[in-house]
Amino acid sequence: MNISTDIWTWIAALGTIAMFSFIFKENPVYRWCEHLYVGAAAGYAISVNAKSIADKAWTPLTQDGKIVLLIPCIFGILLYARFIKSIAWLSRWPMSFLVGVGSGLAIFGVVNSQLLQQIKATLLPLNSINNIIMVFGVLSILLYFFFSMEHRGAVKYGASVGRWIMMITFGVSFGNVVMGRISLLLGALERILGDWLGMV
Amino acid sequence: MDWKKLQNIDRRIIYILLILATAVPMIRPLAIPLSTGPSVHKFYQIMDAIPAGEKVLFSLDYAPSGAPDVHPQALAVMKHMMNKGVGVVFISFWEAGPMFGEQLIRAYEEQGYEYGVHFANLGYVPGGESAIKRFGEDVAGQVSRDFRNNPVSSLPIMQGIKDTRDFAAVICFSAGNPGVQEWVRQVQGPLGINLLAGAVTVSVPQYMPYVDAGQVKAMLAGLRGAAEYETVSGNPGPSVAKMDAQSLGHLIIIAFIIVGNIAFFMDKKKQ
Repeated sequence: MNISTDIWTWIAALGTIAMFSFIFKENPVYRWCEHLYVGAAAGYAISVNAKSIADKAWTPLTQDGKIVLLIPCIFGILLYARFIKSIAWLSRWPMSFLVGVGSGLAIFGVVNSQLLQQIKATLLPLNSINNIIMVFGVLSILLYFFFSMEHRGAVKYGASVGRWIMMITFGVSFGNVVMGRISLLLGALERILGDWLGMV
Repeated sequence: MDWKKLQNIDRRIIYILLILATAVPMIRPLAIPLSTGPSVHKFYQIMDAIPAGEKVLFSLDYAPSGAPDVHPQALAVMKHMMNKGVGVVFISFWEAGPMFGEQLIRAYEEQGYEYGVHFANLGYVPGGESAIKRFGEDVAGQVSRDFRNNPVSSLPIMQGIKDTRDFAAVICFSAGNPGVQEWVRQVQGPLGINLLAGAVTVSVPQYMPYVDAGQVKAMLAGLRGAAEYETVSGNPGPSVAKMDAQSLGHLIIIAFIIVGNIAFFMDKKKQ
């Protein structure tokens, strides 16, 4: 065993143990560490974002004379107008701009990459088991969500196959969730057993 | 037998058994053989084919909560790239990303690799999906100073980089959104970049259709993906060592699922 002498490793390890203490019961140490984590994360996010504003807006505006950056800066400031009742309506302008740009970007991207490209990728020759499962899997799931006709006869069986395929998919997703959570546990244990106690 | 009791095992017992099952093999590895999948082989082949002197982009889109699953992937690929003499540029669309970039760089700086020549950390770009689009189309226009406050134009590694097509590969290490989906939607589709993904395990089923469609060339799945990459690249490291613990952890969970189901059906039968 080779215990770390680094103060930050001690803080990380003791913080991890404090968070684990919630397994047994909620307690003041857990609460304190939880608040500390939220505060530290918020502080870090504020500092990174402040640097970003300085690099991308303030410095180019004041030192490089990029006057055009005044427009996004004013729009950004207007977002905070919502906190003053008499001028709260001004915050709708940047918000509308953000929603418009966001929607435009997302619609283009979704139609192109998540609809057309995915349809193209499903048009496969039925010459392998994988391709057969892929094509009939997609068709049967689409049939399951096809509500314009009553699910009877062949449609009922097709929709049932779709339901089974979705169940298998949910199982795969759950398996991945379990695997991911164990990885997070291993990360925490590595901090305690490895970085702190030097046992790994 | 009290089947009801078996259906309601105290969660503390489950947690203790799970922690023991994962902690013991970390201290005393069992050397359970690790198989490697085709996706990791493809990932490795793509990265290995990049000639020395080229540059790749790592998009570090994760936070401490997802780091144990994704950061080992970045470590493994970084090691491979450094050994090959390929430059690595970091960008992040998550606030915590630049911190992980610095972690990745630190070990190599101590070995004599030079910041700005072998790697650079461009820091964090706010704006999510729209920021990814702008960065993808105009790298220098979007980031004027790096995380260490150097002008990006002064970094030798950034010479000749106009947009993300100038990188031999773009790897998005992602624990959520913005991440792989946004890169596919806004950059891979319009520009046709060579996009690869390192995904947090939970998101793997969500990203698989992009791999099947060829939009994402190959993907590493969680810690397991990192361990496989370390094995394939001939550098078994910390991720491989954790695989025994992961396997035993899974066995414990499988055992509890089986016990819970047996207890449920036996109780039903009894009633």
